[in-house]
Amino acid sequence: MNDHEHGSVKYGDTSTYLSVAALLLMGLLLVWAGVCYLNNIWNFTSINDDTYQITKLILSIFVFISAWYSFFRCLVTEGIVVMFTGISSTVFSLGSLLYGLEGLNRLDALFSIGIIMAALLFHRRNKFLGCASFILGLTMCLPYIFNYTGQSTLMGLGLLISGMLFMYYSLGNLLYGETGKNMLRVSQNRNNNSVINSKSVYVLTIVPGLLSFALLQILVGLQFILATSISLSYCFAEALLSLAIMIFAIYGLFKGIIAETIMMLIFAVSCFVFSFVALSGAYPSTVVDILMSVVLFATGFVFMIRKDYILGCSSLLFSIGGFAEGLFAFYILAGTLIIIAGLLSLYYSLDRWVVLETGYRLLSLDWIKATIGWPQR
Amino acid sequence: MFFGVYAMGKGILDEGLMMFTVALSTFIFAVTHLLHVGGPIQFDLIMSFIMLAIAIEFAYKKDILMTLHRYFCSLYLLWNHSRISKEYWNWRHWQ
Repeated sequence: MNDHEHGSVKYGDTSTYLSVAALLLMGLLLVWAGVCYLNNIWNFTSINDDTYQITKLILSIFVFISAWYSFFRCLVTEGIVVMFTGISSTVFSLGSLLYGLEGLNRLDALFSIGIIMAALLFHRRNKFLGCASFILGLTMCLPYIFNYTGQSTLMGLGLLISGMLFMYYSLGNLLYGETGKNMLRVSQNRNNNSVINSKSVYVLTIVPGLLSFALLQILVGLQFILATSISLSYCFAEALLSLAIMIFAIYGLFKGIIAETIMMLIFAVSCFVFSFVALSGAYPSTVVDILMSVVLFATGFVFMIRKDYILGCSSLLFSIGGFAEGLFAFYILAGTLIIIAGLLSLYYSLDRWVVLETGYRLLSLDWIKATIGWPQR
Repeated sequence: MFFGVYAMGKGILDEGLMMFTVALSTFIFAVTHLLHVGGPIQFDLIMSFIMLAIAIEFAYKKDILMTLHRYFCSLYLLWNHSRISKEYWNWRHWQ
């Protein structure tokens, strides 16, 4: 292979492959979902609901797989957007196909935190991707926050527009990668940080892994407080998210990151067992939750000894919440403690993410100024 | 699909993407028909735009045969969509 034959694409320039493959697939999924949403309102063509859901399910499985490709190429921000979209869509389609359920709006609202954060980070290096991600994030969180008329129309339009922007960006990258011509005037993302070293292994485990862990914690906490019964959509969401966390945790564990990965793994296993048992029609036992709380208590102490106070407090609070739920059935107290623990973990992972992308801390004034385009001295 | 992904992984983007998207579309059609629900005809409409974009890429690379191939594939998908969807189209809705 030489550069003349393949335009400006160079062997190992993984950002081009990712932009073309993962974002194109995600764009396809979003456009398909948007068209079908709008069709339900305006009825401009005939789409069978099962056909729509099966197509969406197949696409979302491919989107989910392509997210892992991007993670293991250290393209963390792109991977997070792709993974969250894939999980959300898979939950929606599986629930609808198997049990005729709606999607879980609460999960989409939580994912939108990650997607809007990704939009802010994209905004610094690529305004086009930032805009697309921001529209997607807003589209995912609005139905949970507001209940308004014309909600489906806005959802459909949001998905369609963001999907078209992602497709436009990836096809623009393809043209640029193959011919060297920037005809579509898409600003290129040449973030070629594909070398996996010890620092990036930690980042890869902590940023997407701990972010998913924190979102799952908040989801479980909200379930304890708000829900009166276990919905099957919730079980699908819990199973898929815990599966993703387990993969990150096992990866980190084999690379020598012990305390964080044990914390993530034990919670993910507990959630996976819970959702599997609930999906099979039996009533889940709380014994696994109590065992999980014992392990989390130990990891909390490890974090405290390491002077990692945020993760230490998160782990200890989570452990107390687990005991409150498993031993005494204090669901409101357990839910509140788990949500606080989740928020601490969320802050920690977002902070690491912003440091990775920009070099600033999450709450530093410099990052906020740079994000909103405030003139720097 | 595997050949397409492998080709893209090795930097052969156009050909890899072409193979992957056609195989993906066919795979989805096969699965939906095996499950006895209708194929997603409207999905062809979306795919035809990707085919058109790939045809433009081949035209840039002066690969005439592949350009024509992709161009006619795009046209076929567009025609296929319009032909079949006409059977379902609710004209009264627009009138």
